[in-house]
Amino acid sequence: MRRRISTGTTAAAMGLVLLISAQAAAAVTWGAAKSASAPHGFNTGRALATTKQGSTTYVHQVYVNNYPGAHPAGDNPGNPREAVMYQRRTAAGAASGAAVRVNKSTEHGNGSSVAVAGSHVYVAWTHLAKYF
Amino acid sequence: MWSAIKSLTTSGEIDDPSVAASGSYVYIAYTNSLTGALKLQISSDFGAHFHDSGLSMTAITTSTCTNYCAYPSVAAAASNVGMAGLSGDTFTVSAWTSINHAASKADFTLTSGDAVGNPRVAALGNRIAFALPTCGGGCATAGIKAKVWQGGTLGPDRTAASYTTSSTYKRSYTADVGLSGTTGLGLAWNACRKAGCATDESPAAGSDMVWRESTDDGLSWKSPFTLQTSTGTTATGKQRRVNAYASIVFASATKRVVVFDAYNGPFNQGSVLLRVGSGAP
Repeated sequence: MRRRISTGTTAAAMGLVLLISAQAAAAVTWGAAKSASAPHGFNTGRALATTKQGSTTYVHQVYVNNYPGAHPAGDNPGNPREAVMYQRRTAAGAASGAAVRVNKSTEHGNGSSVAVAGSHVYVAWTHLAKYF
Repeated sequence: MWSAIKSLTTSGEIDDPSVAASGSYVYIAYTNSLTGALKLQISSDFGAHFHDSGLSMTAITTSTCTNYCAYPSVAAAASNVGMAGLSGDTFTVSAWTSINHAASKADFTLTSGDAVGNPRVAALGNRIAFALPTCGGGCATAGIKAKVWQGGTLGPDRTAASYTTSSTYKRSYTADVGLSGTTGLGLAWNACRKAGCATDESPAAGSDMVWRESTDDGLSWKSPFTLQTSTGTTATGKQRRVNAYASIVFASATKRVVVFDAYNGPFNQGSVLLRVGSGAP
């Protein structure tokens, strides 16, 4: 009797293990949220693209920083201008190289968007004559 | 190495640029805020020269853009191009697809009279996917809708989420879409816990960021996953009451990357968050 119970228990346990294993293999596991911009960075979508170079996949990201250099953007001579930033990342989301400002430091940029084709990366944004 | 900056417009008021590329072709869609027109410029030489495509959207004309027309989104793969935009007057989301580098187009309406946010487009191989938040009857019913065009054939509406005034989430106003393999489809959208998408501190509530994907082009959906809650009570959590404006890509068949804005208060005083999902759905 004990054997039967034991056998039954073992079978149930194996079944459970297999079920969990099957679910784990089929599930998507999400890494923790991590910052992907400087403080005060933001985007309005259209901010990611991918390329594959050999066996290496890169993720290309753009965002807007209205506190470039840790100072608020503005139109006064002492204020920095709103920055459109490009950041290359690995497929795991880690930064690959430093973020690069792609618009002129003397101009405001906003509404950034990125696309890729082959080895070309394209970034589009709106140039603002005035911040506000 | 970056090229010199090329200005595509020299006057007017421009907003919402969206760029796509395939081969030597580059497509840039944007809003002319003065006229309300949604424009598309095309380059066939890696961005060296652009010309105005002259392509418009049948349901979005200057007569339906007296308030605004906005949020153009363009995507391209091979010679296939897809574009969508929103009329703020009629709350119609119009879209078109092309199989010849946008030399011609086939118009259709994604939704009429119940659009409340930005449509988004993605392209991969011979597929183009559209996604948008919907809101009917003053948002008594709301949700997220997707539609896939494949090789010249437009598929049926696919519903990734349906909300009512009594559900946990009430509505959404931003969504993004990505494609994987031959039938993989991923969506990310903001999901508001309160009507009107207001934020609250007690009890904590705002706009969550939600992910959902399908392995059969939206015929069926895997369980939704909350990428970021808006109900956090820690110092960090309180800074993430509003999570919106997702961008998603599939870095591989088993790797999806999502970035979105997270903030509390002025949208430009938060930061961009990134999450990576690994594995088969």
